[in-house]
Amino acid sequence: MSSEHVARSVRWRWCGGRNREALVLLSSCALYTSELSGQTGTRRPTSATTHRWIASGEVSAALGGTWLTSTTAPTVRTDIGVGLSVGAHRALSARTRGGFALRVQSQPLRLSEAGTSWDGGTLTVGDLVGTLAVPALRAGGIQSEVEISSGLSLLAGARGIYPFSSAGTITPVIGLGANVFRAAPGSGHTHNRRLSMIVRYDLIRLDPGPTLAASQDTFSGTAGWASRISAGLRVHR
Amino acid sequence: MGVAHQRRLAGAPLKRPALVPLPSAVSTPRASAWSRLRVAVSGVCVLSTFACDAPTASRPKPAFAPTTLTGGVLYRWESGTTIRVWVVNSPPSAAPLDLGLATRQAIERWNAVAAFREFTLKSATRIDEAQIIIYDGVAALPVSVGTCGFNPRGAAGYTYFCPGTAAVGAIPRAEILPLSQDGPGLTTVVIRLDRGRVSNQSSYNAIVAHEFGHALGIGAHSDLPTDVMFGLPTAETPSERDRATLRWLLGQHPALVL
Repeated sequence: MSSEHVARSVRWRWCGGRNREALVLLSSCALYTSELSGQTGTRRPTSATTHRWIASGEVSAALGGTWLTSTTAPTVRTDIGVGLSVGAHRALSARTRGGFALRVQSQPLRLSEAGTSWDGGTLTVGDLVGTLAVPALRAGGIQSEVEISSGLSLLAGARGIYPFSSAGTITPVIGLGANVFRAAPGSGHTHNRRLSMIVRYDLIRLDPGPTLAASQDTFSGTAGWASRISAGLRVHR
Repeated sequence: MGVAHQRRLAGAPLKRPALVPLPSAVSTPRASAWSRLRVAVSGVCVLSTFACDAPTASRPKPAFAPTTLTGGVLYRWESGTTIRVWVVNSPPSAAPLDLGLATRQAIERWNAVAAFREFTLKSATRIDEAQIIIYDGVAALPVSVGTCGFNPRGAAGYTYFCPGTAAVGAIPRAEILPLSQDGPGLTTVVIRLDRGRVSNQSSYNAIVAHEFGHALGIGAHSDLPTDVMFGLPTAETPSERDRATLRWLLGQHPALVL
């Protein structure tokens, strides 16, 4: 078995461990969605809320993220940071609502290799995404939604650190979130004023670029999806 | 689950808007549940597949063995260290060669090699906060040398540090070299230049860059004149080979920490 195969095998094993929490979270979302899904389908938005744009703002904690994994180069992760978001959405049908959001998250970078870790500065990421939300559960006055988002990320800061130094500044992002809020009695899920909690798992495409193997001194790397988890509060008006 | 569905279905018509027909899925909640379960599980599978496909990187191979001058001992700074550099002023008569200029250039060019910010070279504002002191032989030695012999042997450039003792199992660190006049300080590396052996500023720049290569962990000389780490340096900018060698050693476990 070549060293490359060994490295790949180690990476996959490690990767399974790294993403355990995220997978548990996503699995929980899925089961949560399926468990009581029949309960949410009986209510349609009223005509007053169906086609109205509703603005939202969000404050979140970026709980972490993994941007580079390797056995022969530093692992690049982000520590807890802050995020702000503004957006708008409207009902698309009786059960879905769509919209867009502009998010900015700033997190300290932490690098680790050979048993030591060190500070890598601050990574700031701006996302412009489209969102699609479907109701998942309504029980005891609590409504939940699953929210899918997709769009583009703008990577700023940390440009002196690989892989950000080689990756494109604008890159695709996809995400899955669980949104929980207290539903007003008798209202549909698109009612226009509420405070909600959201947990989101985002994947951001990082491509270090085709020039990597061109010279002797550069890092050989592969493109992939960096992951990020965030949790926060959102207000809709 | 079953009881909850019955209760809700029994009550649903009372809450339904009179003229809005219900989606067909609502009349079969169990089918809807399975449908959503399938969608959710598919989403999880797709995302988890992406999640395990994280970007990767490997350090380059060294272009030349970086420990030939140290008997195989790999030394470097602790990762993430900000290394402060103090330039000792040379007497006015020592002009026109500018050690400050050569040092600033070397700092800028070597900093670009640290792709993961393993080190950051910076100018010190005081001598007692400097980890590296660089001086020209026309000035007095600014530190008391350690337990190792200090022997420039008439070289145009000379990088000096001295391994200290360490507890069993710990990585040895270089000795702190006490400042001659300003107290203990933090200096572990001293670079000495000899302008008497240099003809012009460009050569001076090349030698300073070369000595910084040693101070950062390259304990070897290259055999190509285009490299900064060539034994008789003329290049002022680290070559691909210099960069590959330093980038490789920055990922290795050091036998000595500066």
